[in-house]
Amino acid sequence: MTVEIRCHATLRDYLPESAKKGIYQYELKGEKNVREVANSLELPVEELHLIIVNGVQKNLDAPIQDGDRIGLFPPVGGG
Amino acid sequence: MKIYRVNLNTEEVKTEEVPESYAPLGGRALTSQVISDEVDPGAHPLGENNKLVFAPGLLSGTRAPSSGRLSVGSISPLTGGIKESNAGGTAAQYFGKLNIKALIVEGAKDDGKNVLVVNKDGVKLEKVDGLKGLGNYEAGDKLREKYGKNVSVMTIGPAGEHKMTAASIAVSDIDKNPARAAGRGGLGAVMGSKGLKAIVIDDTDAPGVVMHDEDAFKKASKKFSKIILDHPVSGEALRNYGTAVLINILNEAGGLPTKNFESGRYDKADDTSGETMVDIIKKRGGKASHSCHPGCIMGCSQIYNDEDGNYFTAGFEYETVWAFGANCLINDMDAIAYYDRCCDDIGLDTIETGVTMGVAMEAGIIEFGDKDGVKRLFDEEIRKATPLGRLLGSGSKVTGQTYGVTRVPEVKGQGIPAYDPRAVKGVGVTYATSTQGADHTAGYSVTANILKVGGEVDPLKKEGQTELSKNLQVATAAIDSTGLCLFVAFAVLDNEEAVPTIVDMLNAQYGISLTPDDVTELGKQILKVERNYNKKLGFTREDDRMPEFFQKEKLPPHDVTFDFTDEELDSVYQDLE
Ligand code: SF4
Repeated sequence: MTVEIRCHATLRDYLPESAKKGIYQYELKGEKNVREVANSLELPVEELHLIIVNGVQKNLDAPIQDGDRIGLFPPVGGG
Repeated sequence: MKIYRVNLNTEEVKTEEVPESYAPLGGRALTSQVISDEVDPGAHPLGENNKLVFAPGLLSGTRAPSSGRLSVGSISPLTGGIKESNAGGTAAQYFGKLNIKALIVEGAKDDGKNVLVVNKDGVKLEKVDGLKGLGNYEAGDKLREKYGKNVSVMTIGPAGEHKMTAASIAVSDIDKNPARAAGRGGLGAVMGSKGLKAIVIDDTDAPGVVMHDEDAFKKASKKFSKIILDHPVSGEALRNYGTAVLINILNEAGGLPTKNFESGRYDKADDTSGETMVDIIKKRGGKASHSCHPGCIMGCSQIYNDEDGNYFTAGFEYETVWAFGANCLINDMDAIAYYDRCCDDIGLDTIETGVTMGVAMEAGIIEFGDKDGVKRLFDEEIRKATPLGRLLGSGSKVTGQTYGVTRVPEVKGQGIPAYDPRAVKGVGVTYATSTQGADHTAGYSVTANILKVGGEVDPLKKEGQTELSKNLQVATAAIDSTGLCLFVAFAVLDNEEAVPTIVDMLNAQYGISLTPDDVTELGKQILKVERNYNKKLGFTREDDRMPEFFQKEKLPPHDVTFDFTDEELDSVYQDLE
């Protein structure tokens, strides 16, 4: 059971060195939702402003499944 | 304050008092009002009866943070409708300090030597040889040599001189580079049609903005700065990664238009992301954060150096990176920087030109992903104003039409920017209904749709989108009149003290007693003026529609279409006419 974690902007610094360009294949260890994965990876949960699972906005309690693509962003903007 | 009126036919410059009814107007409110009041709807956009109006915002020239935005108004040769094109750079602050309410340019003369010189003594028309045909970089250098190194310079490049309808008006930034522009709507072509190559503004010994209550203004502007800096987006994020940070977000959300709007995801998006841009900038000793005018505390701009560490381009925006990147399947940051510099130098809107390149690829003029091909089109065709170059410089609609392309992303003749209207439906409503043609800044629903700023509205569903777009269109029109950069909206939408604080600044400066409701009313008033003027120009509700392919083709990965009914779209302006 793996999920693809895509950390962006300042969150990239929290991923292991091997995660090139913020993309990290993470082998689940029983985590059931985004919050648990974020905790396992020691990501700063309070900075996870946008949580996009398979292209759809979710929150920390969103359940996860094998093969999910999880995009994480701090507050950012532009235009 | 004064209004200056220049007629290029008679070469007369007049100084006028500000009529009472114009006193509370600035920026977009003023440019749109002047166009509506003075320009006969039958005027050809490139003829002598169209006018070009420059107006700083109400707060421009003051110490209010990020208040140096300039509005340029006219009938657009690109859309055929009313246009307010908004620019950063140093011009608006200088106008404000010189107590200039507006500069109105009339007439038309094929000359190319005309330069307007604006300083503490007023406005003068001068003839300067050797400027014709120059790009904006060289023209700016020449003008600074002649008029002093600290003047603000607005110029048109070859695109404007050749009256290409995607032409911009360049505005010099803090470092004197022509990297800021009144880009959208082809107003560079209007300036070209008037034979006006440049406007030089010298603020030496400018009297400065007259303040009714200096202390109250100081207090309010300090508070407003804090509101901006306390918000995570306007206080920090914009400065860290620039606007291109949006590439990865829109890609994740499935709304990054890819391959001329064929998909909402680009597998090589990260090669062109804000994160990648910042890595390159840091490696080459550029600046990841940069302000386009003195007094901007958000600093979303940047300086991008070449491989040898020399300045190459600035103000390298999300929209630009997307338009030539994902939209054209080009994943090379240096190539995109080259196109950005070409647009700044030749004087072209980066969005319109990038969208046009996507259409050119769809038409088979060059292949998708052909980065050398795009370079050749800039260097050999557009810059030289060959027939093909002029065609491409006329924007997406004309190019699509000429080659029989059915998938042309435009509304009212203006190319659609970097958010697919099917997957970010709120901004789609704005594209369809705005008085300006497809314009994301006119009602930036991306905030609540994608960025979780100012609430949350599901980007893939229709619910709440027309309301959201309408409210943002009203608020934006008001902000565009203050001279504040629209990016203050991130803080304004999340902090209820923000609007009252803007009102406090206006009241302290002008000695008036506006309320926050008056600001909303002003926004509505502007939209009504623009909407009703567009009607006189021949626009109907049928013009507020999305191209057919957005309604028929499903956008991967969400497989969504643009599915608003005509009635739903019409509801946006129903009580704004
Ligand atoms: S936030 Fe960016 S665009 Fe706005 S005024 Fe500042 S530098 Fe210019």
